[in-house]
Amino acid sequence: MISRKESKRKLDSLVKQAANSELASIGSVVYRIMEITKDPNSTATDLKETIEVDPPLSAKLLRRANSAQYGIQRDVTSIQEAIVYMGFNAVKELALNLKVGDIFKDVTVVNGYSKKELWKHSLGVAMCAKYIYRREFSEKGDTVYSAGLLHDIGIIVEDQYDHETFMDITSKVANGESSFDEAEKLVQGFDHCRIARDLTRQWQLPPELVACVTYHHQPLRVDPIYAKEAYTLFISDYLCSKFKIGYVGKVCLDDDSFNKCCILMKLDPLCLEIIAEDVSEELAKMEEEEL
Amino acid sequence: MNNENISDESYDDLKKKYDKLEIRYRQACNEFKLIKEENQENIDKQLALLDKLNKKNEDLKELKDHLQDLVESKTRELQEANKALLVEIEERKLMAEQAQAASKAKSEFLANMSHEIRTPMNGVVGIIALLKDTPLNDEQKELVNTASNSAKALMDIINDILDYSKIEAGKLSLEPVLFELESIINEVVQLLKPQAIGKGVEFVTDIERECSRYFIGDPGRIRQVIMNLVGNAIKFTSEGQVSICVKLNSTTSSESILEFSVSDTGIGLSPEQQLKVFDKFTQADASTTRMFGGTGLGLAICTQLVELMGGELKVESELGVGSRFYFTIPLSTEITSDDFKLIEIDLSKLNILIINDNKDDNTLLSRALSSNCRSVMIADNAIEGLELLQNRKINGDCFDITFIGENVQAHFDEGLIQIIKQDILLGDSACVYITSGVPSRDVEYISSLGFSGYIALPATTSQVIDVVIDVCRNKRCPILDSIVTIQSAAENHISNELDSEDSSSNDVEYRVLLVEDNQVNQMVASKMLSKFGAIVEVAGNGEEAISKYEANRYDIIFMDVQMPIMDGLTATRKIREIESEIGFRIPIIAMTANALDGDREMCVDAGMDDYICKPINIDDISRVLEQYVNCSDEDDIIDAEIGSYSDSEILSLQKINELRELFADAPDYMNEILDVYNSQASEILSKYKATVVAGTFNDLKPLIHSFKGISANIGAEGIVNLCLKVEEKLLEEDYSSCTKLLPDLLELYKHTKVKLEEYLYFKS
Repeated sequence: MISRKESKRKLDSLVKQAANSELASIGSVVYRIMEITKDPNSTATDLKETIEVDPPLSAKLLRRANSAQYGIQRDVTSIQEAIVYMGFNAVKELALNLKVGDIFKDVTVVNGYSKKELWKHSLGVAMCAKYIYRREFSEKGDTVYSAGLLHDIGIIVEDQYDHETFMDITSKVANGESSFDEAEKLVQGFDHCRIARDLTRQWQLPPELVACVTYHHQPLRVDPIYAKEAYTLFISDYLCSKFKIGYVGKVCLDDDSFNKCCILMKLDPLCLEIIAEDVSEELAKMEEEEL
Repeated sequence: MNNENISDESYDDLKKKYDKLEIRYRQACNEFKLIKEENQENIDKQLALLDKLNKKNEDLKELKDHLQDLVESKTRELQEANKALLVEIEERKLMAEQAQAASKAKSEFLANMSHEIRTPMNGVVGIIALLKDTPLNDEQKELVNTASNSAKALMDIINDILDYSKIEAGKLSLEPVLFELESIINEVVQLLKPQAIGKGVEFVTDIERECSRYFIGDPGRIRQVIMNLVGNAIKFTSEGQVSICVKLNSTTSSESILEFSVSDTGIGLSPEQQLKVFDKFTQADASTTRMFGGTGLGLAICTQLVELMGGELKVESELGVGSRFYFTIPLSTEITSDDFKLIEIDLSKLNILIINDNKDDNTLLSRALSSNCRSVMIADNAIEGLELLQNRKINGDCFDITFIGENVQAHFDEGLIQIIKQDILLGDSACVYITSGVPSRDVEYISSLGFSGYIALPATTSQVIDVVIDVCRNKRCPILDSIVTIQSAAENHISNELDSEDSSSNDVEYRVLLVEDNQVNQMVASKMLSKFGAIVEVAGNGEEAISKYEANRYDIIFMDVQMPIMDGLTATRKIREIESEIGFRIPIIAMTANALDGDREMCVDAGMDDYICKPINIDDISRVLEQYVNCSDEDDIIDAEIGSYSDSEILSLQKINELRELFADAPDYMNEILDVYNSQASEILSKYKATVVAGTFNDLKPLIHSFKGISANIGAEGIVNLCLKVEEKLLEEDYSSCTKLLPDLLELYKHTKVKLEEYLYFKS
């Protein structure tokens, strides 16, 4: 057990390093896309400009747009064209995926963990959350989608900037000594949710997103005004863990919170199961076509 | 039971499936609702965009319409402007054509006028010249002189007008040749000095030393401008002085820019007059025309001539104080070695100084030079030499050439020549290095010291003279890159002698057909032609000329261009036609008063060979006769025959061998015999010429007889044979053949002389 003070110092150090690293560019892209999403008067030009200021992202996006996955008959040579042929929302989502997914590329598996698997999990959670919003609430799930992509960013930060400690944690999880959260708390005194909170705050992402990632393990503690998003994210995380989508480590599923959330949101677990199945299938398909 | 179970189970399954489907349906409905909303949103966005685009489109359309209007109106304007321009261009073209036609008409009018005026003038001047040659008493002489002067003055005015019309028509071209600037100025001085002295005006010339040399330019035009300016200066100056000044402004490797100025202390010009003074037909003041006379064309011509030569004529003047007219023109200094040979050096004006300690050499040199040069002074040592140089300079003169001996050059550590060259008080003398016997220094070294020439003694008189001439030439016209030596001078002079030999024989009889309608002109021209020994027949027009041409044989035809009945051009064409059948071409020389360059082309087109300007003068006739009569085809054939003579045809080798054996012991005697033969031969030949010119062919017989005799003695068999031929013709009294054989004999003798020397001259 480490001291509170040292824990705090470690946390600050990690967040500071992350904020000053290449991760920072994720922050700005996510921030801009969230803004566009929120603004009803935003146009394709805004999205285009957001993507085009990040040349590597533009290149990746065009490559993806020209892949078989989207089945566009002609060459897509500009973001403008991508938006025309794929649609505004699809491009927005793809941009987020590519930008955030960039840091999850490492396929090396240590202690049953790999960034790639963690990415699969994050993408699963994001899709799950989005589908819940769209299919159950008939609402756009842009915020929860972004939150889903970013909810485990804390794990990446741990892996990247304090690898030794992280190895400690993952080995403990792999040994079955404890769950991931418990291991984190044991080793460093804080969990990845805390890191995500500090980082997303630093990036000035919307408060509902910050709330979602902060409480994705303890949904019931969230500020009631963000309950819907936070519960949805928690449920998505729960479902993906339950259906073993991507890296999940050894989690003790918080059935209690899940049930409460379902009741509060008036969601039928069967409906959620169907969504989870669909996400699982879709991810498998995506993986087939190269993620 | 079982069935029920199964159906229960399948019912559960189905129920589950149904529920799932129901859920999916509900979920799909929800999503559909959302998608509808999203689509609506998209549609709204698109509509908004469309609105925006429509608005933009409208704006653009408006802009486009506006632009179109603008373009249309501009196009219309441009089209109108274009139309106007086209009309104007047409108008201008018409005007230009009219102007050109008018200008051409004016030029033609002037040329015709000058023809009309010059034809009678030609007669007046010619007759006066002839009249002068007749015996006259003093009073008559004076009257004739006055008439001559008036005629000349009138010719000057006519020439002024003609010059001006030529310049205006752009038909005046420069004829750049090699000339000596100083002599041009001197000519002007000589011509105008009497006028100045007559008015009590002092006449001064100041030519910078760098300018008193040879240039390439048009000396006639430069002389004309300076003449005019000086003439004006004298005209408008009643006391004080008139001066000509030539300065070198700048120089490059190929040309020099010279400034000529003519200043006077005359009546001067006010600023307003200065502005008008270069206008044609204008004098400073209309009243001056009455007071001083003149056409007012002089300065206008000068201005144009100076412009043609690449300069600008300017004036500085103050009323009552005087005027200065000046101009700068570039003159080429790119003189070829052929030009160099043409520079004439008047040895009799040269002052020579010899500074040398070798008495024998000094005697030899002074003997070689004193008979040709104005003065030769000798100094035995360097100090004495310097004194002489200095005295000369103090007296305002200088030695043209200073010979410096090897030992006196070394008298001073820095060398005598360095002292002479550095001290302007010692004058500007070209120095020639002389050594006795084997030279101790090479030519390059001597050249680097500043010497202009180099002679290793002993040398012959002609060698020394040749070096002196080339040194003088190079001083006036520095083109040689090394110093003059006996060898280099000899090369230049050998070719010179050959040149002069080529143009020697002159006094031969020619038959000339003169075609001229004006009786006075007929008289003048035939008189001039007969001075060259020509037998002149006259035809009054082209038709007459053709019939005479067909009936007789002529060596050359002088043809007037404008004549009644048939003009000269038509006659020439007809003659050429006749010739094309018989294959012989007679030189036809046009005589024209239409002195424009275009006439020349017309004459050449008609088949004429050359042209001379009226009034005809002796020089032109001499040039034409020399060029066309001496080089006729016939002569060429004879030359070719003689050129092909072998030694055995010229000499009897048997006789030669006899002579060689006879005189083997006394070579000097043989040489003497040859000298005697040569002197007798040339005497006989010159007498032969005289008899041909005089037509006293009876005197020819003894001459030919003795020429045959002396030639036989010495083995000149070719000459013997030719003499026999002449004797034959004399017997037949075929004197024209005798005349024609003279050049053959001269030519053959030339070859014989060379061959005799080759075979018989004994080198001592």
